[in-house]
Amino acid sequence: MLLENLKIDPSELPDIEETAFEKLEPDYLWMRLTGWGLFFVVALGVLIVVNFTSEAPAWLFFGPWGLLLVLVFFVEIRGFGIKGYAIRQKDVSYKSGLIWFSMTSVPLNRIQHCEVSQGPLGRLFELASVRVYTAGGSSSDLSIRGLKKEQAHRLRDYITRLSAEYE
Amino acid sequence: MNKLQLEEPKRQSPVGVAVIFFRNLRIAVNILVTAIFVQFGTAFSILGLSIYQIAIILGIIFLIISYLQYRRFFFFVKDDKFIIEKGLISRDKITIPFDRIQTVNIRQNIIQQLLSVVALKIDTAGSKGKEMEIAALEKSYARELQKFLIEKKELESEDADEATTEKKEKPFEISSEGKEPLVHLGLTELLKVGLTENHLRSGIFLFAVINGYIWQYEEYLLKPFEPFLKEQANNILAQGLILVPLALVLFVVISVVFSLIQTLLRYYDLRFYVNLKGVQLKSGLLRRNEYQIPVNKIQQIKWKSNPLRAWVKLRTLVIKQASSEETSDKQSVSVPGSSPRQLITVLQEFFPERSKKILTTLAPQNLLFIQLAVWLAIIPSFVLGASYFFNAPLYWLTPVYLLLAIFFIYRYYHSVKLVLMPEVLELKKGWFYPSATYVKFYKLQNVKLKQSIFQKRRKLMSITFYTAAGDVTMPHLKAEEAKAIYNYCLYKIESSTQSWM
Repeated sequence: MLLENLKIDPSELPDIEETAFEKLEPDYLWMRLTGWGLFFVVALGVLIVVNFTSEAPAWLFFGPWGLLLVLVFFVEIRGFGIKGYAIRQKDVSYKSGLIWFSMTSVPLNRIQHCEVSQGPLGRLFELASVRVYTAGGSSSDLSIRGLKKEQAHRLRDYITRLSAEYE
Repeated sequence: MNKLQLEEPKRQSPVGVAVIFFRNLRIAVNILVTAIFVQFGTAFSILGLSIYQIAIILGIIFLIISYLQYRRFFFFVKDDKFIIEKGLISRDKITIPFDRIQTVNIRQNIIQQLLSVVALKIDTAGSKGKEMEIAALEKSYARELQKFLIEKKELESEDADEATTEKKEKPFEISSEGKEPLVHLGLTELLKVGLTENHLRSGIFLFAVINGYIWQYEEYLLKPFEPFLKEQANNILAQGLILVPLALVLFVVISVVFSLIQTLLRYYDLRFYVNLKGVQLKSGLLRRNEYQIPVNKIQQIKWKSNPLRAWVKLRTLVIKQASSEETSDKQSVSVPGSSPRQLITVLQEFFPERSKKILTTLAPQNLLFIQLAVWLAIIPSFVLGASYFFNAPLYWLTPVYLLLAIFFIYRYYHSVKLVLMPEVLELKKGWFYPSATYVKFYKLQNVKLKQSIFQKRRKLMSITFYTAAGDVTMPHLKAEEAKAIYNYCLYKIESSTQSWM
């Protein structure tokens, strides 16, 4: 690798912004909405019980509930288009976040290992996520969520194979 | 290998029984004292045995357990793995592949010092909470084993990356014998360091610990004073005005004394060595700790200070290495009494290219000032001011607080700087508690751009640099600057073939 000693012009560096990010499976949005839906149903149940036993006016409980529901669903639906991942020759990237946008890239030569994980909701929707581990603490790990199961396995194998070349 | 005789399962040094015994005893005392003693006092008895007889019986049981634990503790080498087998009833087998070893450190607590043995602690990346300590080894043997493990580890990791054309480095070895340490803390320096510790933190820590114990032993500690306290209660209330400042003075004095003791215990006879292979640190009074970090394991080099310490022209040097837990400064090598000149020596040793060429120095945009001012100055001021309506006595402090807070935030805002050099980045932060972190680009393992909706309108972004030893964040850069740095970092990491961990 002779690149190291070359003088480089910052404007000629590969730009992550020009990379086309892959969108996540539309089913993943439904999965997230289902998850939130379950949460709000349970919360509603709790609130109804609390409301029966308390003398405070009902809107004090159900107002914030409705407001939060609208807000969460708005952020989920609007924010879904922002989520995406990109695999370049030498790194893996993931971006997300409507209110707090974040984009992170892990170079393949820094990946420790890589695995597929699937939660109970994921099994229902046949979706899985690929988790990329780096050394040290877990704060620098990266997760690509909302992939079809076969696709997740393919991606895991691909990343594992590429990152193994550096070891 | 022959000398170490590791093909066969091997036991620790025989005095290991004593070391294990005292370790068990400490655990037992912690549990038993709280459970039995506090519940029943010395009048406690079972089956007609007094507490002393029970203590003796338990002691004997512990001795037997310790002996069995010693007998059942083996360590050996099989293929390319270091294996520890232990456990009385359930056998635990801990397997450590050589290439997973991160560091091998030697420690010595007071018991081990008395018995002239040392403990060998093996740290791996990624496995949390696994006990990988050999409690008692002859010192020379431990050193050999340490050397052997590190050599093996280096060989393994080199075999693994045959693809790289990097020349094979010699096995790592930082011998400090017969060399001058870069930093050596004598009594005067130790005193300086102790007096300039963060006393507030020591004080609060001590307060928390003591508070916890007082509640546990409340009955025994406070009961004898109860009649006295009741009698004095009225007087005390009247004297509250005198007692509060007195308590404050007492708090300060105790905090300082506690800092001094802590410093003495931790940093007594501190010797810090630096050479091209890495760094080595020896320190401690009752428990002599010895750390070494090979140069390729160093992830971050950082210095920090506080107003007191800066006043005596000292800084704290921290060298961070890869770790399975989030590295707090305590877990990494920390040299509390380094002069600026010594700091420069260290930086020069590891970043010789530093300061030759500074590409650019970036400051955060003023959104940082605005956000900090809103969260830490204006909102608290509103709360404090609003307390006027609830007859709280301190509302008049509001303007004082507001001005002070704004002043501190302004100075802090101006202290944040990101300095970019071709191979190294430097992040400076803090006015009251100044600090600077140095990271080589190729040591990064992940970069992250963040943009909140407040930043989006102003086209700003924050960038976080992750290393195996924790992360640093530069807030509120112009978006195009942040993106350029992001691309540059990825380029530097991806084009590097040097071993980063």
